Amino acid sequence: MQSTNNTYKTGLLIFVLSLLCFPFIQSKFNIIKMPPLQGAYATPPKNARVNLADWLSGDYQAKKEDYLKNSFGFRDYLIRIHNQFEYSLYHKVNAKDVIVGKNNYLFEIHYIQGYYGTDFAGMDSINNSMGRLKFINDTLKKLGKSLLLIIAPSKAEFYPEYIPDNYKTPKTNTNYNSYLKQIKESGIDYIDFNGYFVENKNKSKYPLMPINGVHWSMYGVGLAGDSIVKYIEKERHIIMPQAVWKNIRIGKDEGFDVDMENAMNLILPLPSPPMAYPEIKFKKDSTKTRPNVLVVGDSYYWGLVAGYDIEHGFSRKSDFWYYYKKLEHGTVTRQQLKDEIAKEDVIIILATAHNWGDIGWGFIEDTYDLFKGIIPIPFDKEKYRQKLEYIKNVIRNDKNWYAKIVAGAKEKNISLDSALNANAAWMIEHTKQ
Amino acid sequence: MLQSSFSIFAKQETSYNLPKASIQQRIDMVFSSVLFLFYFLPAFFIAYYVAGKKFKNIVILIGSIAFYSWGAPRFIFVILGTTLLDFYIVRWMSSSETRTQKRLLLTISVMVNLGLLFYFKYSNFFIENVNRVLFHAFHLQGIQWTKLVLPLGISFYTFETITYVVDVYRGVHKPLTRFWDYQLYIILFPKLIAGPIIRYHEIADQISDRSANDTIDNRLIGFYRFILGLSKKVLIANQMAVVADAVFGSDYNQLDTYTAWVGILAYTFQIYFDFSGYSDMAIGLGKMMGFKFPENFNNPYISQSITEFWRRWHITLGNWMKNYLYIPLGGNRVKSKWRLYFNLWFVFLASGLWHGASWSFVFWGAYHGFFLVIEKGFMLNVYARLGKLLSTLITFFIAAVGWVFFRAEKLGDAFVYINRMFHVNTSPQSVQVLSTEFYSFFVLAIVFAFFAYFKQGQRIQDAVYFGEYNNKKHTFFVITSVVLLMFSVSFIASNGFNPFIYFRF
Repeated sequence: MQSTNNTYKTGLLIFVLSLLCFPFIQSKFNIIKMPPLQGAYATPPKNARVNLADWLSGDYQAKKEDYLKNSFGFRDYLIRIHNQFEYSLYHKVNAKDVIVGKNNYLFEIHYIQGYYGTDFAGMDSINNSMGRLKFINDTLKKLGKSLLLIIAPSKAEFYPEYIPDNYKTPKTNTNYNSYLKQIKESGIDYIDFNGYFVENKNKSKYPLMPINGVHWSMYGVGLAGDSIVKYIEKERHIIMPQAVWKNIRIGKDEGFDVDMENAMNLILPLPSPPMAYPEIKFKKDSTKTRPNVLVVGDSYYWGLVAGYDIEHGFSRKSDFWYYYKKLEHGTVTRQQLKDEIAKEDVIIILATAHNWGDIGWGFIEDTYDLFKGIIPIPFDKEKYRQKLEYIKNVIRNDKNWYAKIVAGAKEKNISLDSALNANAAWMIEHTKQ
Repeated sequence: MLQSSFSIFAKQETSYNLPKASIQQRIDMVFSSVLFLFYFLPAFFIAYYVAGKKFKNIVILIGSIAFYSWGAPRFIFVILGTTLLDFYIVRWMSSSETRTQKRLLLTISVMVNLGLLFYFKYSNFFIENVNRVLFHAFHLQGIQWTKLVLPLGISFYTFETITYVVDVYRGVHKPLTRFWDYQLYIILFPKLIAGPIIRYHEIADQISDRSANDTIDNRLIGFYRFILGLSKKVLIANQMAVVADAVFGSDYNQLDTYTAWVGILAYTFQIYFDFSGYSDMAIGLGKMMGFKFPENFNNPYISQSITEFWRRWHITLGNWMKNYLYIPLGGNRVKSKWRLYFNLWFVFLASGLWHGASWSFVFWGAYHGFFLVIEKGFMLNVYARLGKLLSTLITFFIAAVGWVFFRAEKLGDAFVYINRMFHVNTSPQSVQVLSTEFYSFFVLAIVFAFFAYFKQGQRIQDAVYFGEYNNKKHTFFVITSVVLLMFSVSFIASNGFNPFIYFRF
């Protein structure tokens, strides 16, 4: 009996030790296939290589631990377990800036800030941008080109009734209202999908905005795409290839309609009403005109690409500069901008309502300067670096200032050096005048 | 994992009064890290269980040296060097014929060990204070000094080294004959960094023969204990830390009364579940190897006096202080009442200073010493009249207020914080981290901290820690441990993972 007992207990011990080995085995051989984590996050750290100096300084150990923490077997699934636990029990979301609204409607907080105007850019900034836009529009017209401003819908404007009470603030001037008023007065061509979507919220056959996504629904994308094409046809006096709506499939939300849900990395799917998924394809027709279009815009354009196939409505020379390429290269050279504008027929600036606070992300200023013939002062990297270091030193020598930066870095969970750099850069930016 | 995420106790010890930027970032293979749980732990125990009886100590030695040198690669030479020196001094002392020579060698060994501890741990503090005096009294510039980094676990292993030399001197136990056995006692990784402080005579025989405790039952029970400690640390202490860090990281002058109290209560539970969780993990790992480590915590928050609190909190430190400081000072057997009070207070001042070199730790020790003295004087009688519930609440209240001195960076800050606790201010909450999630873990913390207050709770705890295990019970605990492990690791893995929906700026 004793020996049977011991065999059983030994079995249990082997089981628990094997269990502790599984993550290592899984990380090496990926035996059980699991869905990867979604959302945009930092590239996982690379494996560390050992050398004596790094070992003695502890750098190797820090890098190795960081690597293992980010790559051990079943990590993705364990993160999902944690996220599901926190969501199911506390409605806590572990995706940057995502919050749960009333009736489980998901929001990104920037949209709420945009709705209440807490991110208002100020009338000076708006007047400045609009003055430039007007000049760009007039210049493009003279060049035989068209400028089209598109205001994509904001979920907070569309579903304000589901904004959680603790995020509500008194409504003030918003970027959307202020820009819209001025755009209307300026005579620049525009499409206000935000207003259109809100107006048709209860009239539309299918939801125009999803519950679990941040962008327009795929059905909303279809309607928006048709409007854009019609507008360009009218403006350019052309007939573009026809966008054919083959079929509208009704089903559980997916793809772009669950982009926020995806970033939450849960185990169980979130509930949602049935959503409409039109199958839209541009008919190939060489007799029709595919205009050259430059789109400078935010992620809403991706919806048009994925759900409306809009790239097949535009020519192959067309381009999409996501946030004016700020995420890819950081800058667009004057020559690139000149060449790009020269080859396009239509220039679209597209952003969701709240993103108008920083509309163009530099495109408007650069194009204005280009058309005005203003040569910007060349950027002197070394001088900038010296300035940055000088201000960092000033901060370090100011006890109170330094303490604030240390506290800020801790709160934001960033390195002290990053915090110092950011603050020094801010100082340079704001003391230019 | 960086130092900042290490057990709260060691964090206090290593970074208490140095500007963070000036400390070389160090890593410790903490028990709650992925590296330890899924790489070191299985590899070590597979090697340990597969190794023949003769080689088990070698496996422990290699594992412990690897463990220590991972976190403190430069200091491994300090620990190896000092243990070598100690081993031979004690051997020499043991074979000495005369009492004078024995006493001389005892003094040399204690001085060397305490000297190292003072050098690494207190020289920064000492020089800072000397410089302050030089500047304020004489307007002198002060002594130039490069701030030192504290070797991992030095406070713990120094005390253990002292028990070795003193126990041998007192004839409580014979010295070890082989250096590597002594090295194993000092560097044994489960208890190396944060205790329990194991006195030499408590473990001496187990170093050469652990057959009595090295059973399959103990291996499994040790695993359960380890997971229990891990869960206490990850699922409770870390959740409390979020609020405690936010509150203690804020501007104390802006604190409203409610937040100040929530902050200190969160810290009260954080430090208990963190430190006792670490001790549980150490005891569990020891048990898995066949060692029997002394208990370090016994539900301290159910104590009915500060005297009792110190019999339940960090028990092994209390025992060390009693046997190696309080008794040599004369202990209770002194002629004058005032001498007794002095002894008590001195021990607690030393205990405070042991926790960290700053005036707030010293004050914390004095604060506890003060309550011990008045309890010896009359308070114990008062408690007896008040009954169990009131005495427990008062003791908990005293302990919680005391933690302010332990947690605040500076002594002056601690007084500002305490002022906010007792100066009623009902303005809106100044720190926005008090969520439903926090409160649910807070309730969990209360339940487990006071679990043994009731007889049934104590009975359940005894059954888990010390009861007999049949197959059914083992199966239940294996399942529970696996669930807790999975849950704990899911919290560890998620730490810092907070993706954007898509990249933008």
